[in-house]
Amino acid sequence: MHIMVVLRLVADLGGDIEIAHGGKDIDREWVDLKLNEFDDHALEEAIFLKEIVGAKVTAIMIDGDGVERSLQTALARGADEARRIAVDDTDGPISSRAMTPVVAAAAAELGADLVLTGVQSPEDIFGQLAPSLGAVLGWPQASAVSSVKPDDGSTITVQQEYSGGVSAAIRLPLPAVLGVQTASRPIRYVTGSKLRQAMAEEIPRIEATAAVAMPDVEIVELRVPDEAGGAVMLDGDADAIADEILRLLADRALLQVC
Amino acid sequence: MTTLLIAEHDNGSLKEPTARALTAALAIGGDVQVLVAGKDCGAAAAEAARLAGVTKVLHAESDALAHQLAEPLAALIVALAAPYDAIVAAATSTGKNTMPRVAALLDVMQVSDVTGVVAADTFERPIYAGNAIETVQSPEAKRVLTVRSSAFKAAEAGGAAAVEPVDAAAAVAAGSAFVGAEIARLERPELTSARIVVSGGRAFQSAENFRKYLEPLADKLGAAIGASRAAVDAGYAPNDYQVGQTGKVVAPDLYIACGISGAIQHLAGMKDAKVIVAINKDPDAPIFQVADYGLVGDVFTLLPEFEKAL
Ligand SMILES: Cc1cc2nc3c(=O)[nH]c(=O)nc-3n(C[C@H](O)[C@H](O)[C@H](O)COP(=O)(O)OP(=O)(O)OC[C@H]3O[C@@H](n4cnc5c(N)ncnc54)[C@H](O)[C@@H]3O)c2cc1C
Repeated sequence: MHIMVVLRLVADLGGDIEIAHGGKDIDREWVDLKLNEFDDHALEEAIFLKEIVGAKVTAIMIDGDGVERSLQTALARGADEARRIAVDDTDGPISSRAMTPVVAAAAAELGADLVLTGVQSPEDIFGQLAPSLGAVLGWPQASAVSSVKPDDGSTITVQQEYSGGVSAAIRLPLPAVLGVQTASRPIRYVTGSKLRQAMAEEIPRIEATAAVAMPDVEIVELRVPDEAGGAVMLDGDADAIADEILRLLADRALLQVC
Repeated sequence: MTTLLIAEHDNGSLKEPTARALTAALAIGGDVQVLVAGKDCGAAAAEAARLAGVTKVLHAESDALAHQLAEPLAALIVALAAPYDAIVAAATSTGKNTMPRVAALLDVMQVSDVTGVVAADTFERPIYAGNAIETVQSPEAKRVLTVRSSAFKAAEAGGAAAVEPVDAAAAVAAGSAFVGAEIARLERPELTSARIVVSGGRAFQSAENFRKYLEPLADKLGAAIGASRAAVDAGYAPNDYQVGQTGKVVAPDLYIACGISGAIQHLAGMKDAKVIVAINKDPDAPIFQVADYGLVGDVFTLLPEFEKAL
């Protein structure tokens, strides 16, 4: 099995969002980048699979600031190989959907038979990458995956989460694409010495063999939602407060005390 | 203009996000038809036909559609797509799994997680983990939209649309197979659709306390129980209780946050609740910034008294 893991760096916004001049993007001047949390889980799951069935793991990223360092860390964590993919003509970050053709081409070229990526990212809350990769490659896919079990080598069985505490086991034939929500085990951190060793490695840079998908959705405006004004503080004894809350519920026809 | 709404259902009945997504589909304007694709899903199709505003229900039956897996469902939607200007689904697990595949197969950009319809081609949606709202315009001839259902009211019943069987031959199983479902039996309302959510944070200190103090209150109010990530990570509450950026997004009529500080990632999951009540011993806790009503005090004394007083 050859697993390709797609990693993405995302803006580390904390709580503060500054809208850039022009009102269509965030102000990226002072924003730090960090590895997308779910991609981190995808990497962990790939390394976990490597340990239990002996897969080869290749980590890839679209090239840009901070990418070499992230890929070196992926090597230190246990990835066998890493590639940064150069795409030209990019103005700012490439959305998950726009990178799909590039990533799909890389999967085909590297001969991967399992592609893992994070189920979503802060810029792609919906999680388009895995399903659109599945469509472009013509491979089956599952999103919101919380564990991957290799079967006999030609299929895998994954646990897919739905809302409301429901999860289902889905069997997919390889090659396949998975959007990972959580790895089967907690993320392991690497030792300083391993990391220093990996920092010496140069990460090969390869040219993209497909063009990024042109964004055909135009951003009209980006805004930060209005801050709420703050709470009305209730005090008094529990009975008074309970009465107050009951009144609130009754006002909104919410009263269904059982 | 005609819109195709993809129904989410369990074959026997429609799931609530469908009626909410219908409200968004109607806001786009024009006719709205609903696709109910499944296995023995006639009852769900009949239910869709009764929703007010639906002009026609397409009913597709196939073994391959029994579990609404992404590949057969996406293939069917693409085969039916020709006459529609917009294809809409709720941004639920099924929608998330299927619609980006549909968009990529049709080679259009999907507009995800729509929370507002500004015009037939202009939509609002949250971005940056819900900390900003983006208004986007989609000039596509065919639009693929997913709708954050909590942002829209459910459409009412009262319609009487025709149900028309459609050919489901396009829905071929691409190899994925449904092995089995594990359903956590729910004795209380589902978190994402509950009208009241009682949620607990790190303050509870143990799984025993979490249950002991929150369950009686939730039972009395007929509420779902939620949790902060800190409570989940510490093992006080199961994974699927988590509300927030990396958990569930809820928009109940009432959200009671107990011993939760109000981190931005938690707020991303609940700030659209109509009324937020926060209980925290720290008067400066950020949760009070978004709460409508605040109570400063200890959850271990306030909750039992409160539950008794109800
Ligand atoms: C990428 C990322 C994603 C995240 N996603 C989520 C998410 O989806 N959901 C989420 O919730 N968090 C998420 N977090 C974590 C988030 O940042 C916070 O760490 C978390 O929400 C804190 O949980 P808490 O409020 O329970 O704990 P704390 O912040 O520790 O707050 C506990 C609160 O309880 C109060 N308290 C303590 N004892 C009592 C008492 N006896 N009575 C009354 N009040 C008391 C304290 O005053 C304090 O305000 C995410 C973080 C990151 C980095």
